[in-house]
Amino acid sequence: MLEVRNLGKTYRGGVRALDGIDLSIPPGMFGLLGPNGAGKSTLMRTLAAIQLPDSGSIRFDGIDVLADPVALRRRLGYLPQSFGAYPHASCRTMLRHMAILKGLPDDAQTASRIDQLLELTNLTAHADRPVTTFSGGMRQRWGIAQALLGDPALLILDEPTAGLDPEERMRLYNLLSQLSGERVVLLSTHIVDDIEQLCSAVAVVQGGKVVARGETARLVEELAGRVWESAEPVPARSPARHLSTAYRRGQPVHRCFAVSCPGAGFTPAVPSLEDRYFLELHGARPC
Amino acid sequence: MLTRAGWRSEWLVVRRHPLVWAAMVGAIAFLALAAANEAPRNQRELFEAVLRLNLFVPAFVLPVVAGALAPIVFLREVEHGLGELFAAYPQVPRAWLAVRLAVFSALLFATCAALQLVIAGMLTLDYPGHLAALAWLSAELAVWVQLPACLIWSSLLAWLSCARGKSGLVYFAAAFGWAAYLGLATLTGSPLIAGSLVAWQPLRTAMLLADPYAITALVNPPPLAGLPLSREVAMLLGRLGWLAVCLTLLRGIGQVPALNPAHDGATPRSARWSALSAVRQGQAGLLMLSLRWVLRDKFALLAIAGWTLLIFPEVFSGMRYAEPLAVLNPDSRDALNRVMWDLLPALGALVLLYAADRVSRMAGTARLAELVAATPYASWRLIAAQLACLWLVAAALLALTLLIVAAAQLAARSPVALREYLEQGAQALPGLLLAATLFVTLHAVLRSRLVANLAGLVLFVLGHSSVMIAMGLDHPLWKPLNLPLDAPDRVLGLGNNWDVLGGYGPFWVALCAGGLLLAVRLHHRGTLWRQATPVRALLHPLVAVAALLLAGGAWQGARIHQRLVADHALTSADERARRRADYELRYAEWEGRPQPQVAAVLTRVDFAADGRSVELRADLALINRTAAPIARILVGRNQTEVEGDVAIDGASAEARDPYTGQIVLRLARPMQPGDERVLHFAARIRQSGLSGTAGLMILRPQFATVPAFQILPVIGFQRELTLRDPARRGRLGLPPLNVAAPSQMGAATGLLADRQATFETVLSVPTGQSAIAPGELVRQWRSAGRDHFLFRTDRPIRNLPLFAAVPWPAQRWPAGSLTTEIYAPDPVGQDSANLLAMRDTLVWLDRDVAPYPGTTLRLIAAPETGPSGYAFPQGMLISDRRGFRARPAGDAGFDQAYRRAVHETAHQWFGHLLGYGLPQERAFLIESLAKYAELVMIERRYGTPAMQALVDWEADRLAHARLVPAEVTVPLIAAEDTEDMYSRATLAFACLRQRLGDKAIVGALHDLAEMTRQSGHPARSLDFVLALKRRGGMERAAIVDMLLFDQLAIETALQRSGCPVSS
Repeated sequence: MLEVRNLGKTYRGGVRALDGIDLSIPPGMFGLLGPNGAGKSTLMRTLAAIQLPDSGSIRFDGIDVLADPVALRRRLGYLPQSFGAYPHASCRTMLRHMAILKGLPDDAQTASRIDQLLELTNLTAHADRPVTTFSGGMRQRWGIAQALLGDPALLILDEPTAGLDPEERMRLYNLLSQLSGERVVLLSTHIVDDIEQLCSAVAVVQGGKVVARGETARLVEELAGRVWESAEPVPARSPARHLSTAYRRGQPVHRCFAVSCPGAGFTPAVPSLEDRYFLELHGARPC
Repeated sequence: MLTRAGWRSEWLVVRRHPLVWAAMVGAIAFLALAAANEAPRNQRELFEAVLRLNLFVPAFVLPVVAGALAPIVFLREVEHGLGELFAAYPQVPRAWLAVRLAVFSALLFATCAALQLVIAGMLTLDYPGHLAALAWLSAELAVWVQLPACLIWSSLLAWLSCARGKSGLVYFAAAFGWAAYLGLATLTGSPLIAGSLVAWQPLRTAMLLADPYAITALVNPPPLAGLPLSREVAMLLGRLGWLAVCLTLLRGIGQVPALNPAHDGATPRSARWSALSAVRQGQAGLLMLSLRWVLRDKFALLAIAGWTLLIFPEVFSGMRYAEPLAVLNPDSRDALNRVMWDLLPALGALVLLYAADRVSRMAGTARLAELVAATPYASWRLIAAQLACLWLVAAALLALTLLIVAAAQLAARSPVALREYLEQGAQALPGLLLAATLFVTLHAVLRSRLVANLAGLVLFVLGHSSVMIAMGLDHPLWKPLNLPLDAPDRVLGLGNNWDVLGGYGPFWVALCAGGLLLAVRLHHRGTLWRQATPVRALLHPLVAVAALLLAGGAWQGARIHQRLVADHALTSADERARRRADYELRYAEWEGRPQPQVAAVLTRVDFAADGRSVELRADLALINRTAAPIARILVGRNQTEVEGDVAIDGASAEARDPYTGQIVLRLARPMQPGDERVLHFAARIRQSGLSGTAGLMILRPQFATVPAFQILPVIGFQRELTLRDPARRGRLGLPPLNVAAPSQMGAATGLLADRQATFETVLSVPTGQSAIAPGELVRQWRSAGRDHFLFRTDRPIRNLPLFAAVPWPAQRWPAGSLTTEIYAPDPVGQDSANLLAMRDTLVWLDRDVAPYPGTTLRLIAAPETGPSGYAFPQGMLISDRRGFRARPAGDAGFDQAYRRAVHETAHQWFGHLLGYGLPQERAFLIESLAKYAELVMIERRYGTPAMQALVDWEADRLAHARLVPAEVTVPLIAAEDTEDMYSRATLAFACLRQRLGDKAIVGALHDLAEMTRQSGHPARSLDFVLALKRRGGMERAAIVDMLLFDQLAIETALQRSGCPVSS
């Protein structure tokens, strides 16, 4: 539904933010993973048609996005990484304002849809407060509400859970899961667990390139039997690739990738998307 | 933090901001342009120029630099979202303040020092010997003026930043401080402001102490009474007072901006602001949201209050002002003129620049830019809402201005004329709307907010300052945002402004509309990124429309340019100087050659029905008064650039020099001594109305004056048409002018007859108008729907003809055996100051000095575009505002209207009977003797106190005329500076009257006139000095010498002559 071909973007100073990105994203939730500076936000803005690439093409459901960005915007819901609000306008007023900007009629139906979105995002009780007075989570929910105005076919959400407490994060993901259906929901986040739980497909971006892509389950399954963990670090001369080190109840847990047991003390571990993510970041491919 | 590393770290951060360097470079460029316009001719002028430019620094430059840089130094954490982070650091407010204040003050002072180097460097190029003295002067000014000014601005802006934490308020405070000081300077007679006069003496006295830059104390002498302070004491007290203010402000800083909770942008706001839901949505909703965004800005209230505080006092106190010691009964035009044509366009554009930033960057400021950009809302609709909002702001600003002016009028019990308000408002509005459009366009196209604002600021400076002229681009079309509209007066009215709008309006509208359409295609939608590639953006039908509009604008610009060229309005002062230099270089050899003289002028003048043009056909009777035959005649262009046809029967053009406007005619049959020939001249002169009217050439439907003496061709080489300024002569490769000063001149050899002619003139004007020319009105008739007038002189008079067509009939009054004619909008009573002055002066000089060379003297009420008074043979122009509408102010000791009319009437003798024929005799025998006539007439008509009031006023003018007091001066009879010719001469003649008496002075004038009549040679100032010594008695000759001939400062000369300096 969303086709990205050979997308390139280089900023002044030579920073190559997008380096020939190819993606094909079907309906449903699609996760975008990558470290800071990988080019995720540039990619999101470019897909939202508010930043021009240097090269490449984007098509969404038959729309040439670069040639006709307005056509895309009619079907787009976008939540940037950070945003503000007019200090004088209430939550409901801001939604009405954004609805008008999106081309929705200023009628009872839109007002009703706004009420539904307020209900959906649990903001009904705060509808008359200015958005600038909201907490971080409430503001993010308002951002989701505005993105959903006009029933968009493409939802682009850049770090939507930033600043949310676990409960709100959970509520937001439940909401997104309900909404995905026939639309494309493109989700960018640092939290790999979230992607693993929510997204049926995922792409890992690093240095402006897609270093891995595919169905989430398949990407994880490819690691089956090759992820090991131990309280001891990976031996120096071992062919195993260190993936991560974490502490569990105060004790270190080292995880690594190897086709066979890397040594004494290592036990097989259930692979996760996080393992795959670290593996891609460290430049290794599962064999 | 209070360590060397702390300061170094601060400097390393600050210096990386491009605005720091941009501000310094801009300031240096501004001062360099100002310095380039200074052309000191001597040591005194050099020191004056250095002083003036040094005072420019705090008055004009420093507030701008301080305002631009203060947020970078004091508010950068708050501005860039680092406040919270910074607040977590272990900062001690006093240490923070010490570092920031020190770096900020150092930045400002470094800028001042750089500007001083520029001033000294540029001005001492021609005077290297004065470098050390100028360095000392600069150091003194740095200590007294610039260092305190830097501290004041640093303390004020540091306090404001810490108290409010908003860069907008800092910008506003700097702009307000800048404007307020210039306003005070205007009201206190500062020589930094052209046309500034003392509006209220107590204010000036207060400013001697309270001036933050000490400029008032530096450029004014300390008062003789009232506040017994020397200049140094006043400056010292003032500096100490301001130091106390600075310390108080700094002590008031309790918290740094980042730690002040009041500055947290996320502070909950009152729910009353959320009433927006009542607003209709859609395009109107966006417009209303934008309007609220501007009006709910806390600076909006401040701006409205500041605007009111600026406009109301200016109008209330200024609308009565006619000139020093004279006031008007003001009408709505006077009230509106105070603000509508300078303050409103300039400051209004600044307000709109700020509002454009608010409106255009609304989504970005609220961090909603990406959300808005991602909507399908069309760019043109976003821009249209911004434009509509800004137009409404412009209209509201105009309406507010009109309301304030009306309130000031009502408070002053002046009648409000609604029609005048509507007309002036309608003329002022287009300029504001165009400025708004241009600013919205800039913000729509330029992604960087800073760059867009800087571009707007640059356009503002180019449009509302003389920067472009200083850069040699003296063309109205090079002044963006500035329609060359004139303040209307009673004579010319508002009509010409409609013509200006009709000419320039389509040009700017087409450019702005074209730019706006391009902006729609190139709009960044509030983001930092391009929304389409240039090729894709420009491949759109809208761009074709924009191109058409831009092409139409260019076409209209070309038309305007052609009309300005036809008006000769585009010749710059430098170009005129080059032409004059070339004229001298190419034709100076003709100076000694025999050439014929003009003996008679027969002229036909037809003023066009539309009032915009005049046809001039003249036959100049030439006579060879030399002893040699003349075969070649040099016929040249006069002062005014006019394309005319020149021909002499039986002569052919040997050479034409279009650049200098000279033609060499070779006569088929040489003119023998005593022979006469006729030179035919024809020209059509037109004024499109697109260039401002200045000087005596005015062609308007309501009023026209044609100074034919600046238009008719001249014969032979004319020294009067060459450059006199030694520095400029040197730069243009001319040799030093070797002309003896009036105080050193030998006996005159030329003949007055060479400068005299008889005149016969036929003028035709539209029906109902009156025509004026030299001589008596011989006949008047009507034919072909036009009125015709024939004027003829009965004897040769000075060859200085001026023709006029005015809408008023002549009001005739006798003056002894002579007649006065007054042409003015209102009926003139027999107690009118002008009539009394003309009668008194005519009768006195006609009887005691020499007979008046004619029977009629004419006075014409003139518009404000030219000089306040001008005398031509048998006539004079006097400003309608100052000469006819004004009356003495309550504290005036004499009547300025009477004084001016006496002065101009006296020029019929001092100027047109004596004082011509010698190029260097152009000051004392003309202007200074007319000042003597003022003293005599005012005393006779109003008594000695009135005369003494005039002396006191001139003494005050003289004291304030020079920034650097003169220890040694040129002799009065050789002085050409304005303050010498008028003020110093008044003091000298007041003393001469006291010590020698009027009988001796008038006797000397009579002798001079008689000597001139008998010899036929021009009179010299020295002849007057000699005659005065004879008449006054040789025992008083020393007094005459001290006052007129010696190189003494006037105070010294008065003391030694036994005269009091002033009452």
